[in-house]
Amino acid sequence: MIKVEQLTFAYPNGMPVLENLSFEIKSGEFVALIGQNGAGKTTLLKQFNGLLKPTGGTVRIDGIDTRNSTTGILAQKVGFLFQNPDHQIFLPTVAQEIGFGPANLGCSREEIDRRVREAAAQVGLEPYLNENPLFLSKGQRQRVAFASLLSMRPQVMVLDEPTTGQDYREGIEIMEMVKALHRQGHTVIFVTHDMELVARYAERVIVLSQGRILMDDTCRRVFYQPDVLRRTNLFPPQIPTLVQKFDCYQEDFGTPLSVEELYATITGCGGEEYVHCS
Amino acid sequence: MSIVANYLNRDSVIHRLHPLTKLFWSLWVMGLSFLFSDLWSLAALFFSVVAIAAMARMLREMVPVFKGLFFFALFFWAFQVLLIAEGRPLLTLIPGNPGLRITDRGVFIATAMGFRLMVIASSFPVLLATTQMKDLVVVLVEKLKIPYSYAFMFITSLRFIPTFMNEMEQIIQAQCSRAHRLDSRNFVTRFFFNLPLGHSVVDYVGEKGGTDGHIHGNPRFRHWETDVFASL
Repeated sequence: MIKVEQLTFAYPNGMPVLENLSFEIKSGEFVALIGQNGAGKTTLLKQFNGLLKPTGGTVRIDGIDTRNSTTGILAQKVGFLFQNPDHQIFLPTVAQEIGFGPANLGCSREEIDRRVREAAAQVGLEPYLNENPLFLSKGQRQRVAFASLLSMRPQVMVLDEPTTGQDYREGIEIMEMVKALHRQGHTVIFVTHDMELVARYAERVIVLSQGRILMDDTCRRVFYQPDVLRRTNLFPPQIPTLVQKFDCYQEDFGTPLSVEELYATITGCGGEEYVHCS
Repeated sequence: MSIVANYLNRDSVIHRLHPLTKLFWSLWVMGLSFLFSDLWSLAALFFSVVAIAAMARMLREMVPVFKGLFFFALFFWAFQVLLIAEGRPLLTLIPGNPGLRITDRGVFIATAMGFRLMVIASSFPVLLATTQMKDLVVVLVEKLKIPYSYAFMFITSLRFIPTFMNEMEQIIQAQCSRAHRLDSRNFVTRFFFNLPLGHSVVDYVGEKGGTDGHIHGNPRFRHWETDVFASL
């Protein structure tokens, strides 16, 4: 789906931000991109929909070289959710905001209305369709932005810190929606500083440090290599951190990522029993 | 980020000049651009600004500014050249219609005005790129005896230019990501696709409650565009 080969990128002031990155993201993957501030995460995300073009190497989306395409064309394949929904919202009602993308794609009025209704239902915004989005809460505005992305029906969802500025419940709700889309077959790539979210949702983790890939592996393997993570000022979530405090932890506990997994390891109960017990 | 209103740290003669000298230079250049009306003086004045930018070792960073100003001046030129009827006709746009013609005098004056615009708009970025804000405040308050509150307002407004430009860039990127053709290579397409965003910003600032939002249907025939064409 996404093929990055020897990608190098520098801003016009000459500062290299990404250096010689090569990796592939297959269709249907759920990938977290982590790293300290300034590691190049957002810059890398913006390469996927052509907002930024490589200064060296190539980025191919479904075989299309991003340098030979525009963001408008790539938007049909790659949906991008910005960290701040207010950069996106500018129309007077939620319905029009959600319908803006499909209108730009040239959809008919009936098709737009259908997509607006579907996207609003997916994110729970149906009661707010005639409201001014600027008067909604931050979490609801993020949902508006997310719904306007869904209405364009892209195969790949690129999310730049989708839970920033939201409380725990709102953050989890957004991620659950993303998870539901992933179950439907969408490819998801998200950036976050919340390692608990990464442990809970991501299947694969790419760790960036100073524009280079430090690690690219499964979530479990990444979080059980704390020494490597610390090189980019990241710390594993609490459960892997706790488990690694014990000697011979792998023999005793394995490599759990969540409270549920640790509980299951200790008691032999499954996830459902944990929910029941707790 | 854009160079506009950002200080660029360089070791150059221009950077070492007293801030007051640079402030007077930029005001002098702007004043001269209003005094001169002939093409060659204004062109010379513009190239003197380019030379100062080169001496400040920031010509590379200034190129996008000059380029942007050039396109703006070109747009301005295209309107001006049609409004000046005096002089020897060079081209009549609609044969038989003397109102729409381009004259040698029109070309001369419109080009001079284009250079004036570029001089006025480019001298201040050179000043701000070679002078730190704190030095400028000190000069304004201590040497020119401008009340601190006014100096603070002036500097604050300059300080936020890069922030606003960055915000604008983010907004453009967010709309491009929704297949809005703001990244089109066609200038005219880009101009018309920018209009509804500007409209909404104005409405939002004025608390009038947003844009006309008849966005459904084929984007070629949205009614804000129809309104613009109708008004033309």
